[in-house]
Amino acid sequence: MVEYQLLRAHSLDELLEILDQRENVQLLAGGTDLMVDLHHQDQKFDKIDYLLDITAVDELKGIQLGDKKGEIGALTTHAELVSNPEIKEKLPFIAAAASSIGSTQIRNRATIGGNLANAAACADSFSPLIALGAEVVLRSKGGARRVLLEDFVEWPYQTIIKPDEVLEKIVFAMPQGEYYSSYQKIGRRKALSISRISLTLLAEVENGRVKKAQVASGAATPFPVPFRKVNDYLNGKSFAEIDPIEAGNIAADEMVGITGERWSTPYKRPALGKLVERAVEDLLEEAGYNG
Amino acid sequence: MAKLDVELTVNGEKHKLKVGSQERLLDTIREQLKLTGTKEGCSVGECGACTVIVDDQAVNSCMVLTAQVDGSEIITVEGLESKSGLHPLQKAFIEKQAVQCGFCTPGMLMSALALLNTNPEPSKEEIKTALEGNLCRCTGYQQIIDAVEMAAEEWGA
Amino acid sequence: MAFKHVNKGVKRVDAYEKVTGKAKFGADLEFANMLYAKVLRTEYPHAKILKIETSEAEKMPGVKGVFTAKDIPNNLFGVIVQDQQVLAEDKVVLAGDGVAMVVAESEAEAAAALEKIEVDYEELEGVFDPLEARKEGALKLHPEKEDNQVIHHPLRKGDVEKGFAEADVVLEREYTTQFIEHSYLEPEAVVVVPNEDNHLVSVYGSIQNPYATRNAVSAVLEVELADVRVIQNHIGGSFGGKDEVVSAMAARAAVMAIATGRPVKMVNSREESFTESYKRHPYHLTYKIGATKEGKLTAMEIEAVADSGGYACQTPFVTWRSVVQATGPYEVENVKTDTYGYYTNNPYTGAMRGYGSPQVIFAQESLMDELAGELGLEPVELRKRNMYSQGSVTASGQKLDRHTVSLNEVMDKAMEAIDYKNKYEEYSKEQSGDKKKGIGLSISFRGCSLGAEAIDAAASVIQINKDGSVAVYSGLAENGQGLKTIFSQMAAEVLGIPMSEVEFKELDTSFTPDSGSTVASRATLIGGNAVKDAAEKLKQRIMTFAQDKYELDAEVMELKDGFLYDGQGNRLATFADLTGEMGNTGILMSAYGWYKSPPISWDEEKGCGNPYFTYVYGCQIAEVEVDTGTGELSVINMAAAHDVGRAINPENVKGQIYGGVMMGLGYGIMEELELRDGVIQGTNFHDYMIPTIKDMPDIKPVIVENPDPDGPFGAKSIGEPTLELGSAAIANAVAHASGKRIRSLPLNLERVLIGRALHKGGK
Repeated sequence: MVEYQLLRAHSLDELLEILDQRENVQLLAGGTDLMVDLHHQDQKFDKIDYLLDITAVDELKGIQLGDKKGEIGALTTHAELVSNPEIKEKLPFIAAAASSIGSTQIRNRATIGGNLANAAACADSFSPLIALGAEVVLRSKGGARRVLLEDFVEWPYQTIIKPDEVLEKIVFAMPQGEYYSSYQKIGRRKALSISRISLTLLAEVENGRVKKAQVASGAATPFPVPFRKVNDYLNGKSFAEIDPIEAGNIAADEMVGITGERWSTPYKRPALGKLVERAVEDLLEEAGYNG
Repeated sequence: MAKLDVELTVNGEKHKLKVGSQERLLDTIREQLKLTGTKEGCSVGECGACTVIVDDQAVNSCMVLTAQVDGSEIITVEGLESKSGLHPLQKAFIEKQAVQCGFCTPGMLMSALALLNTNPEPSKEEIKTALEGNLCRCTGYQQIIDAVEMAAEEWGA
Repeated sequence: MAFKHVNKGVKRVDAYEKVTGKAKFGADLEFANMLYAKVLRTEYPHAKILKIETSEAEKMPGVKGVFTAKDIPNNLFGVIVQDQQVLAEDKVVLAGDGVAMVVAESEAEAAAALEKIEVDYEELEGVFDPLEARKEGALKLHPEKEDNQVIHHPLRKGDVEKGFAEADVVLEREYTTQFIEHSYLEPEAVVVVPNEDNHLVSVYGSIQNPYATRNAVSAVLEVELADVRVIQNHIGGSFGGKDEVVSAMAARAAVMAIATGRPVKMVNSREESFTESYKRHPYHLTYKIGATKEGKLTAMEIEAVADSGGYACQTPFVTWRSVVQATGPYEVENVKTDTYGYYTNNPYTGAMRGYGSPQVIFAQESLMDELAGELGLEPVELRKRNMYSQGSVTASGQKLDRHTVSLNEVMDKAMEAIDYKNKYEEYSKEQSGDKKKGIGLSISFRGCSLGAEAIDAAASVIQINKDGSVAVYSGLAENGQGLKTIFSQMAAEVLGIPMSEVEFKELDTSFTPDSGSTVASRATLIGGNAVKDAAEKLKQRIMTFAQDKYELDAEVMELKDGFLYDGQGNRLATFADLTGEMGNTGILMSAYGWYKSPPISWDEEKGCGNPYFTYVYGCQIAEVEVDTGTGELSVINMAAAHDVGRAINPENVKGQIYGGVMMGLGYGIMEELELRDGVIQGTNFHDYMIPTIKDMPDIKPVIVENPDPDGPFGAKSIGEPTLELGSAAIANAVAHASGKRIRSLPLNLERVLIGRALHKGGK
């Protein structure tokens, strides 16, 4: 039977103090994953003595997008990401990913930090942030460290967060100059759907050439990774040199290189290839290239 | 296990309650306050039957510990009807035959109310987005959309 | 004929309670001194029970009793075949069989005690495929039976060998369908109260069929029917699903309520509901069809094999509907059909909206499009050359001349509603890009009500109070479909009173007459006739009284809007005064209504006869967009034209159409209960997906009315026909769009993109 003591932190200091002082503390934010585990009386609660509700910690909230840098507080809900005008304008792929998550009720509670910290293979927040080259700030009473998001997950549902740390915020450099993005997701239905595959492409371009491309996918691999071979293929190429189909094939091969042939590969290989192909086509079209 | 003290305003009425550490808002509403209009359909945030409004937002009450919403204002389906009669949404749900078995209805009404409170003139697509977390197995949704559209018009008028 | 209440979209009589949260469902009920109970269910699909140790559980805090099969007076029940165990005794035959139960002061205490029950099992090999179960020498699930066969229904007409010899084209195709969860939003819940109002037990809760549940509880307790009272009011959806599973729950709770002398409440979690409840039958279908090059069907040979799971449940009747309807609504001289059900160690299968028709319609209407393709005919043309018209003779030899055969009309109206012809032409052209559109249709005939399954009759009671208010009771149950409203409309229509004067009362088996089960889309047709009968008896009594009182011919007087009129537009009396006076002079102001269906027949050996006394006809058309790059499938538009005889409440009929179309869409493109060796993979709504509001196409409901001579005000059926057509229409549209024929449901991402399903852990 599940037993724990429920604590509530009202400030970041109080939160860090509790993490410092106590052991076997599980953080609780929007609760949309943890409450499911609680309903199932999941074994993970065997190792939880304290459940620490952090939803009242205001320091973990807020979105700040500057010219050079951006920050998203870990407690930012998906609903806030969808409705934030700056996100919509400057980083529309983040809004698109957030709007595809769960339902209105889920997005009103679920947080971006929670989605990352839970680290499900199908979590939709990863691919846009990895495409941004984002880092997470992990804070403990002793200080903070920054880790590249792509290095944050060790295995599905397992991150490098230490027991005394909290995921405070996500920080990233804002894309510069002329840039384009595409977010795509395949689900089994049109709402309340777990990603079969999701994909973000973000590319800075200059003079008809891709300056810096980042392709990342969710649910295609056990934990989210950037597709470096596709990035390498796109980087430095002029629009005329880019073949969307080839980009898709490279991505599909890269995915299978990571996962090996799995039961889902016969579907995921062509589907991922197609999503990458479409993302690249979107990029070329939005950049005004008419082949 | 020690109970926690919380204060909730539910349908305009203040309640001082003692809640357990695993007590969900859904449990508090149904079992402590005996407001059984809010339904439990899946317990995992997938069906929306337990939707209530917490501080102006539609929330699955099975996904929230009551202690997390200490101090909040909550509206349940029982809070819709007032002395002056049925809420326009309730009238529209009756008028448009948006009710069949009625089990999803309270949650649907709450999601629709949260929408109209912030967006009094929603498009059809916005209505669908607001209700995408509320499953219904009887109606096929069409008459529910019709009802929300009608309520929006009546309310605005 | 002008109606006042019937044929009007009047508001539901139960809507107010439901929009205010006042309506009490099973889980909302509370009784003083109530206990809570939970069931321990096995994880093994097939195992011997060696030992059940309950002593630790009995010592747990709050526990008032732990029960096993030995505590059940009669452990076997079943509507058709009594082979279902209340609690498994020596053997479990499906993962989810209950083996023990605990009643305690709280649900949490009951749950904690369950964990202390130890059961020793000896795992047995299982059979998980009916095609394996039917083989000679297959492992037998029920040792007392000869083999695993639950049922076999043959149908023979003409000579199929001769028919195929006459054909220019012969096609043979296999189709498969999946396990489906009813997915009613309300998980099962009952409360059983002992010794209430001179009943041994009173059963409250989410009960689809109160009389079937009463039968089961009284059989299990070995007490008289009169000792058991079942009260039914609000139920959170059922769709055929809250019959046997709820009967088992009620019987369990009744055993514990009697043992403890206290009310016992049982509420399933969603996971428990998935684990325990019965499902829609998966079918394996083999069709062989022959046609001349002109497109005239010459023969059909059909075999349908249904997976019955661990118990017989409704399999004998589900597969019977299949055998009657397997050819679809087509004239075929030579037919050989065999439908079978077999026991397996899968979850058991029972009634679900459609009841043996959605499976055969998916196959047969997919096949018609395939055949049209082979013959170079348009799908509509092939159907029109073969489909039933007035006076046609069905595969079982029934001549369709008692009602209007309206296939042509429903088809034309559906086609018009969705602009079929233009779209068919446009989408038949080469389409550029990955996203391709297509349009497809399907048609059906469906026997109304129970048919030759069982006695088909229903009753009602109408009581006029001294103030003129009217109470209506029916032995059939509101399941969310709108029965209370429809019956109230009929009573108001006959008695000439406003709807506000009619109160529909809850069903209580202690005084409402047994009317069988609320199934087979029979409530409006059979139950409606019974309500009409009671109302007409009372009306006649009133008119006879008025004739004497006013010395006017009963024929010229009229009951309307709550008044008696003299036929010249003058009011003679209010309904309330007149009926009050009648009551005061000692006239009985209550009446029983009764209706028994016209004669029907079935020869089980040959598969012939007149299985149903009337039929309904429908046509659904789906317009889809297929993403041939990702396998994503969008159903954009659907038209659904259904002949309902007469729509008692057109808005309600539309609600049935919208709901049925969406349930059919779920069946067609996304729903599938995945099993691995009999064990359900994922027992909640994130694994088992039903359509959301975003998956809804634009649906055009078309109500077609050809009043039936046997229907109340001409009304027939609508509940089930609405969901049986969608999957075939969608599959045909997908084939039209992409050129790929998918013969297995559902048409999910993998099947659409790569032509086959993939399963976790599979190769």
